[in-house]
Amino acid sequence: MSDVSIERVPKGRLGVWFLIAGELVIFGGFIACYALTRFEYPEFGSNEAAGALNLWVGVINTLILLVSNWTMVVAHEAALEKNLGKMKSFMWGTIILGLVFLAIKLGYEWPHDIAEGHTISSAKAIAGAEPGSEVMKVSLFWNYYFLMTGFHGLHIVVGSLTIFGVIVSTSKGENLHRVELAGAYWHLVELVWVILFPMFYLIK
Amino acid sequence: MADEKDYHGKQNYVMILGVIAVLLIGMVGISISMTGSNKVIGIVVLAAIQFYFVLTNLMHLKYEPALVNLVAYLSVVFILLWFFGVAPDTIMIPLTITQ
Repeated sequence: MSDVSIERVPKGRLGVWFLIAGELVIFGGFIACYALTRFEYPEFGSNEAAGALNLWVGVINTLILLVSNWTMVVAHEAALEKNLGKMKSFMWGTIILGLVFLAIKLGYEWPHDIAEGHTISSAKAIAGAEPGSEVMKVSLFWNYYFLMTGFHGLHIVVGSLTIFGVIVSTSKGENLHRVELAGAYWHLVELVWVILFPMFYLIK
Repeated sequence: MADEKDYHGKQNYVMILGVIAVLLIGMVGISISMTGSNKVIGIVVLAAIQFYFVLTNLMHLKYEPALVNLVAYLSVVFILLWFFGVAPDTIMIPLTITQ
């Protein structure tokens, strides 16, 4: 069976792009729902909601993700040059930076938010609150925040595992095209974050 | 399968990532210094440019054939159609959401 599809696109590459398109629709659906709600509820920008997020921690995490995208493209260039040592080193760098992003998100930001009483359900905060009250609207912000950043974090975990799998499968210099495919998935994580970051941290 | 070197051109990734970083600084600057609808519009425009830069340059979409471009952009168009189709039934957009 040929490994090239119509328009001479390698099947693996086409498959990854279908996956990316599917992911864009899923994240796009979340983002569109958030935007529709945000227009309706200015309370999302209050100090109890978006205003409670630490902007500079978000900026640091954004820069970490940006550098991880650089390490991934350098790994791809090394794969084109068949420089396996450099390729592996930079893919490991990408994984480590992804884990640092997660460590900041799950080890600092989320615990800080949860300690302030903000959770995905905000059950304690909304107990006894009137439907449509400000407390209910603010709790909806945290619902979106934990859901979407959690789903994004899950993609970082999957991306890291994928890159690890590619490191193993290309260790003998075969299937080097997989580096670019794993890279495309990793850049998807950045692609989604460039929307999530301003949405939660900047538009207050 | 075509050689990967033939498939893609050579890119200056440092410059691309530099542009993305500058856009990030611009968004943070707008967030801190501006208010009202101008702030929202400014941030959304810069975020959209960042999105396009990542999609075309880091994900190499600009080197891909029409079929792959169609798959990628259709997903974005689908979401935009859904958003603008639903929005009139759910909200009246005042563009004063930060005031």
